[in-house]
Amino acid sequence: MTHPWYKSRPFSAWIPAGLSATHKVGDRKERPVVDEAACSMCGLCWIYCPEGIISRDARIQINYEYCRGCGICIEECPKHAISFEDER
Amino acid sequence: MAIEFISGCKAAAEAARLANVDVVAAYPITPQTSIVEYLAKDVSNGRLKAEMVLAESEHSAMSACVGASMVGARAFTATASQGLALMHEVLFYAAGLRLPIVSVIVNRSLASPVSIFADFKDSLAQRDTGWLQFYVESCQEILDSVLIAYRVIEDSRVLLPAFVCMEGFVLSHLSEPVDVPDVQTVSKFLPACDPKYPTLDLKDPKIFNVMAFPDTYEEFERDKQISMLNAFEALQEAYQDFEKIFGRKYQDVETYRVEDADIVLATMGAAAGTAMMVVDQLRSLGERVGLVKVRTFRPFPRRQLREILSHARVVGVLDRDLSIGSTGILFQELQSSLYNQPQRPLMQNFIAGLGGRDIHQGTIGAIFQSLKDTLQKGFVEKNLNWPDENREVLSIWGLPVDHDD
Ligand code: SF4
Ligand code: SF4
Repeated sequence: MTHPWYKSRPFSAWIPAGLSATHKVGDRKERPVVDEAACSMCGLCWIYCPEGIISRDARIQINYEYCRGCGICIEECPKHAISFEDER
Repeated sequence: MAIEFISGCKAAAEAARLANVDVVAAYPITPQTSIVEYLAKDVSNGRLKAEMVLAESEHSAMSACVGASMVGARAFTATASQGLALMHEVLFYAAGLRLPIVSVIVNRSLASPVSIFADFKDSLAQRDTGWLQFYVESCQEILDSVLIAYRVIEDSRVLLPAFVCMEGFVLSHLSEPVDVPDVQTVSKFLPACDPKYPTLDLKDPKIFNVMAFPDTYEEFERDKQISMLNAFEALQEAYQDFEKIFGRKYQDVETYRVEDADIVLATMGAAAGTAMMVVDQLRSLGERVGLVKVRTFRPFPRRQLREILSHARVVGVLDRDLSIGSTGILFQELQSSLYNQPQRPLMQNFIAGLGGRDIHQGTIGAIFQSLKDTLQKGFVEKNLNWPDENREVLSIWGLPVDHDD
């Protein structure tokens, strides 16, 4: 019961934006990073990423503004070329 | 200020234009369609500077109004019957998010069977959604009530959405002389929209409509209840200002010759005009009869009605609606308002005018006759009455003419 909005009437159920004010997606503990030397450009991560935010032109690139850190790309990569790095 | 000969739909559209609404989101439905047509025309020829959202359904139209109101725009819509039923879900969001949206309801009954004609079932079925509800009697009152509604619901003491209800065809397609004020005069009564509630704002981002757990949900409801009751105060102030500026007087409950009346008939909407005429006729014959018109249905003016009605000996309630399996809806509200009075009148309910059946002088005369019989007997023989039943159909279907609740 400590939110500032509880103090103001009339009540409508709102709260000041938290992470969504600064992040395009929710909080992410780790980020997937591609080891380009190991990558064979097979494109499986590009297919499996549920957010559709991996691009594959000359190389594999992950758009970290939208990456949720789910790790599916890591799981799917046959070359074990993707691994997590801590965000903090 | 100019007197114009316009229909109820045109009066509603003129009111929205005069209120200088920012967004109109609507979906056409008989008998509301011409309101949307008039407004679309006003927007396209620049008479009204507003965003016209022609939605793919009423559910979307109301959702668009919610979105518009959440950024602080003055939003307007109009609907009826099935369309209002389709909006139902979103009505709770509008009220819960405390958004001052006005919707004109052109009352029409609901299928099945299909009917495009008037009764109050559509809007009364929405009575628990947290919207204010006003029922009007004339085309002038439609225009005035939309302006009054915006003024009251944008007040920070209230902040809830509102319906202004008129009977389909009876008012929507009836043309009457209407005093259409100019924009400058209206702006004295209804200032430009200045939202006094948290809005969507890129510089101050917020999350709306978050979940309330059992420890707070009840208090959200209570806050709406308190704000709804606060509307009485805001309405009184608005009525006073309105009279000063426009010279027309409104009340939540309007009375006609009730002061010394033994028998009082209570009703809502356009039937009040016909009933007044019958009251005059009966008065000239020496009968002590009077009329009460409930203009504001939500919040329900319990206290005012108690004061007015507890002196009467018999009160009849004419309902253009029916809560199937119980009684008329206005009757329930009135009866429960009077229950704790030490002295209370006998009460009888009359159902008439469903599906657009005319409520004519004869209907109201029969109601007064029945109330007079009750006064003489001293008790209520039949609680629920159908003063204008179609006996031919009843007998073909083998339905009992006499049945009680
Ligand atoms: S971690 Fe998930 S969201 Fe991020 S790039 Fe890999 S598959 Fe896509
Ligand atoms: S799945 Fe692995 S090997 Fe295949 S393109 Fe992605 S990173 Fe490269």
